[in-house]
Amino acid sequence: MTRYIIRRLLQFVPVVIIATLIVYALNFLMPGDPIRALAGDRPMSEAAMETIREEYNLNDPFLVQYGKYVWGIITAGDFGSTFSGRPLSDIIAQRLPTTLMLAAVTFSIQAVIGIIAGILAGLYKDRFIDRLVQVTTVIMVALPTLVIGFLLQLIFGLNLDWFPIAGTRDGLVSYILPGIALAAVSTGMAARMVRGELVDALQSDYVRTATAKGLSRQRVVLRHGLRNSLIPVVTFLGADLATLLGGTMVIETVFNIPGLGAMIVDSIKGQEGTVVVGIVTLFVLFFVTINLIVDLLYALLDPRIRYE
Amino acid sequence: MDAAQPTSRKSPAKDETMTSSSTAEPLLEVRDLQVEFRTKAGTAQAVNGLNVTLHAGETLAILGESGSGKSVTAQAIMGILDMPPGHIAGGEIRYRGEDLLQMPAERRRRLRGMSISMIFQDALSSLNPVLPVGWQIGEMFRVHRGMKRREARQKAVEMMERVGIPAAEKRAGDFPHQFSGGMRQRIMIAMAIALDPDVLIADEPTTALDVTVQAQVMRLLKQLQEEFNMGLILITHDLGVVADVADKIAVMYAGRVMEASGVYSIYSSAAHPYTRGLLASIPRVDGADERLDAIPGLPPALTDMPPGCPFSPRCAFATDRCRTERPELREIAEGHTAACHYAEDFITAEEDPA
Repeated sequence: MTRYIIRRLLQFVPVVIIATLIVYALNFLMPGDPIRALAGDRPMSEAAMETIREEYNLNDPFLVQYGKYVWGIITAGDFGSTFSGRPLSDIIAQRLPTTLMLAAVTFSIQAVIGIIAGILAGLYKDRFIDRLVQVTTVIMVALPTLVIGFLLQLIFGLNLDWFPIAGTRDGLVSYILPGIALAAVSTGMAARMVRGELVDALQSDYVRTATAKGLSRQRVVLRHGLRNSLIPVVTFLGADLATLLGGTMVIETVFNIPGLGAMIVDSIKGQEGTVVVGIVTLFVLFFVTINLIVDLLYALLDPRIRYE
Repeated sequence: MDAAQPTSRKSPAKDETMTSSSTAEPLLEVRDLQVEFRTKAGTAQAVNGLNVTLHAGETLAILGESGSGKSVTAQAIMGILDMPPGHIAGGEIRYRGEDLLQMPAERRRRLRGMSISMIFQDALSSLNPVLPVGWQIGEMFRVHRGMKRREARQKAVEMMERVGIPAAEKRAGDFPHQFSGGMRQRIMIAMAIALDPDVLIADEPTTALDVTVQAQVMRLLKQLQEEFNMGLILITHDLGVVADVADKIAVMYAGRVMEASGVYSIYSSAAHPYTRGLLASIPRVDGADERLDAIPGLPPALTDMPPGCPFSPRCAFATDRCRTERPELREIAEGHTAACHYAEDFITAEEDPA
């Protein structure tokens, strides 16, 4: 088990190197001159622009640029800075809590609503509640996150005025609409998954055995049916928590939330490679760590799986 | 069938228990049981008017092909039929005189596992894959006897030792997939007999096992049955298993009992052509015939039963009467019933070979 974890941790190294290299390369390949874009309409002397280019190694060939970037991280812990001179670590420290908050709200909605809806649908298969869940979840899965975001803003923000439309000034309440929008697809998928797994489990031989043992219906369902049907759902939700960060790019932009996702979008527009790569690396690390935890959790929940 | 006296009397001790039990009230009496499955293709009549009786210490084998309704019968007795689509259309299942079908659900649930319990064919899928076996056996004691966790575990280990699982103490924490097929079936047995039930239903308990292990498991079942004086219903399609352990046999076909009697009369003087066909299909070691005699054709679809004898389409001796008039199960000798218009002819033909 320990050996397995160490091996998985060692795999982080190539994953991070390859991921950063790809992001860095994509950024390098983007057309246009970031410094000229930065200057905008203001007049800027060629010399001044050249100084900035030198400072950010923009004149070097790609691999040299990347090498200098990695070297800076290794030797000085310097993740670089924005063109305006703010160190990246500063930006992350400021924006990470916002994104984590959004992720937490989203994940809670997915897990709680998704699992409860799935259980109800599975227990009352083919009844009204099941049909309701089935139809609702299809809509949730089919609508793009962006559209759901706008719809929520329009209905619950603008027309009903129940929730703030943008920003994070109102604390937890400000995260509810973006959280719902970001959670919608996965909540629908989780609910359908729980339903399917529960229906299968309730028809399984071991649930029949549990009934034959003279256990109460409640005990049969909770201890024998549900326990098993939630195992794959845990995996799904875990893996989804990791991909959720990608979704923050869209939703933070739509709801004007000053998190890391919105920062990535802005930095891509401004061709600030250092920032994009820095935040993406953070997301990648988060992704692989969550996946490792999910795999370990899976082994814990299902004794048939053991990592040697 | 009711009057069938246990014919297997191997020891004086056993003889005594069997005589006393068979004069006493039967443990289990199934009267005219009818089970239907309502499907889109129509109503499938899985069990049509089944009658069987079981006494303490007695082994009743229910024999039949796949789809003959033997497992459905077992599930109906246990009360674990999937309803819907399953539906008990009529009849009675009396346990110690009380009709299980009329009983309040809660009372019936308490009887399950405690007084009537069941062993399934595939122990791997029938045991919960994510719970330790000791926990699963112990659950019987916790739920029905209100025992504490530690005490229940101790009892579970005792049960595991009783069914011959080596190093039971150590293995109680293991999961089903960590055991061999035979050991898993022993765990199922331990779970089923944990609370000393009166009736044990074994639904093809050895079908999924290696031949060598089959014999061990059957021996264990037989031994435990004698020890606990249980009534055992053995559901099987294996005639070899039946001959060893059963006291009486009911041969099922298309949801009906075709023939029922003590075990020896079935083998020595089978009266129903279907039973005869089954017996002829047993491979012989002496190799008198090179080819096995298989019964031609397939059982009828349960949604579309022929009007006469359900076996008539496959029966070599079927007459017009067979195809139009359904033969009732009737007594043809003491303790020997058969559902065939010409049952007596078959027996007589056997007795004086012309």
